[in-house]
Amino acid sequence: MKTKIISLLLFSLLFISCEKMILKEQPSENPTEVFNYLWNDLNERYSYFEYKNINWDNIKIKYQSQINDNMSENQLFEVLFDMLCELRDGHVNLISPFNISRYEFYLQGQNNYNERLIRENYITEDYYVTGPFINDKIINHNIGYIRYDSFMNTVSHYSIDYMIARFQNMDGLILDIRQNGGGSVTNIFTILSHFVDENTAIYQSHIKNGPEPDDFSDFQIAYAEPDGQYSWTKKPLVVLVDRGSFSASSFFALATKAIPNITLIGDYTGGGLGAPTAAQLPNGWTYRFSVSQTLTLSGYNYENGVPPDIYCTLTESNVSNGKDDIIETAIQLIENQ
Amino acid sequence: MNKNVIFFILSFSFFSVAFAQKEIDKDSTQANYLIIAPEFTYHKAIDNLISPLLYKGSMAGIKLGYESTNNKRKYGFTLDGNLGLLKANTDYYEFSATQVNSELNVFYKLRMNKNSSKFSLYAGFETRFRMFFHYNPNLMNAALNLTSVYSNGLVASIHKDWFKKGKNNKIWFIKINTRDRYLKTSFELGLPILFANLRQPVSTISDFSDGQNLWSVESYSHVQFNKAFAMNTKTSIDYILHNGNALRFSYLWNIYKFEDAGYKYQSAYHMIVFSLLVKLN
Repeated sequence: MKTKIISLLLFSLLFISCEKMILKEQPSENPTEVFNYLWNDLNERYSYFEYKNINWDNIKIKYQSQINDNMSENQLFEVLFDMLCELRDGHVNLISPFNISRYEFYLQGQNNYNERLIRENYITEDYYVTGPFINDKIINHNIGYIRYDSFMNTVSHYSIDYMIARFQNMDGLILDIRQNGGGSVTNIFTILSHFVDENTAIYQSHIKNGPEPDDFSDFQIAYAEPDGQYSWTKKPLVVLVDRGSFSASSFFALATKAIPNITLIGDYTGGGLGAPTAAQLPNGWTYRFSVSQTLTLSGYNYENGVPPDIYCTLTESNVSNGKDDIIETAIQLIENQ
Repeated sequence: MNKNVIFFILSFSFFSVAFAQKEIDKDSTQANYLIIAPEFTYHKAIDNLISPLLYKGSMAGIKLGYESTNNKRKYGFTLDGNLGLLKANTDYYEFSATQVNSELNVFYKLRMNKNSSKFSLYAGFETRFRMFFHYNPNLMNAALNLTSVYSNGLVASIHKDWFKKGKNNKIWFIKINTRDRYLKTSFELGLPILFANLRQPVSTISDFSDGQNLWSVESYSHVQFNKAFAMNTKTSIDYILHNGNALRFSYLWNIYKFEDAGYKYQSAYHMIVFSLLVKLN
């Protein structure tokens, strides 16, 4: 009986032997393989070649000649870094244990945010920190000022409710997201739910879902839905942006275009309206890139930066006199309404 | 009452019932079992949407199920959950990811050779719904991944019973009684033929610019059967206890491969299962 049972077990192992025939092996990690893998994956999945007028085939020719299988890790990284910078996208990174490639979107425009200027001239020393928000009444004006420096910090309805209740007798609110480099898109919906009084379509997105250039899903419209205890829909809200407002901040800026009582003031945003995904190369390095496009409801693509409703930048003369031109424009707008 | 005392009483009651000694009834044709089993898995997978690297490692989990069997048919279901850490290696680096697998398997088989007493052959259908949840912090925006595979297919199994009568021996004045031994062995082969592979075209919660989450059905891609291949085998040895309950040792092998333009996924796992089958009738 023992022999027969052992035979049965051995028979079952016969099937397992075909596992290696069915499953593919891990690819080689030589520089040529890594280069080709990265180029091919971006070729099939990156969402902005056409919009940015990038000829990816030409870029392959340009950089492939710099690749050889004897190059060091550092040399390979440098070539891939340069190739990825051709995409001019802050959502594109190559991450190795020794370096991270990046495209510095915020250098496209001047610096339009000076934290010390605001602390010394616009809010008191007793400003509140409510969740991720710094907030206070602007000195000598009946206007509330809210600073949100990263969409990475989770927003709760409680925080927004608290600030709206605190500033309910003010004439208007300023929400400052300059130099806010983005984070979780979920926070956009939590914030906006207090600034709409009915379900409001805010933008539309589609995702690259196939290898051909035109392979995109159907557009999906995103909605801001009222939520929370307190809302701010009758008085003006001014959102301050600049080139450092990237990714989730650009999504937020784009959404304000669809909400009537919100005005966008400042410089163009840094863009980043393609949602990023990430993947791994055969040598283990990871890379991140945009796989979707988000447009206004009327179909404008602002990947290179969401334009403000009122364009305004800091001027040296005003900064030296303790004035923030962008906040001053916002105050003027609120007080004239 | 002290928690330890309650645990002891429950454990004792359970094992007393499970292993209570009676005589083996090898002629019984109908058996309904509750299956409770710890299981150990060696899982390996390449999910080309996020990495060409082979992630492999050990997992541990539990299986619960129900099985009804007689001379005409077998049917039942099992539900598995496994958790483990998978690793991938390159020349210089090692990466790890948390893996959670779950599977619901429902089967119905009819006996094909009712008149044969040498062995029994069953064939029928089975449905499997597998979910592979993969958390890989190296992948930033693509850190959370959920792949679901629904398959419907054919299953066949061959069963052979082994019975060894107990003996009464006497050596000098010492009586040695060996009890009846009853073993059931089986080999099962499953070939899924209809598939649905459910997977987002992008792979993380924060990718959804419309605020929807990982479970949003609209974002999944649906794929048909001709793009996938799968096979599963199960080799089991049941030791029938004298009260009709049974101890089962099983070795399962499962392979799944899906290939479509822009998305390739392949996985295989080997599973060792030690089951206690509690007879319900």
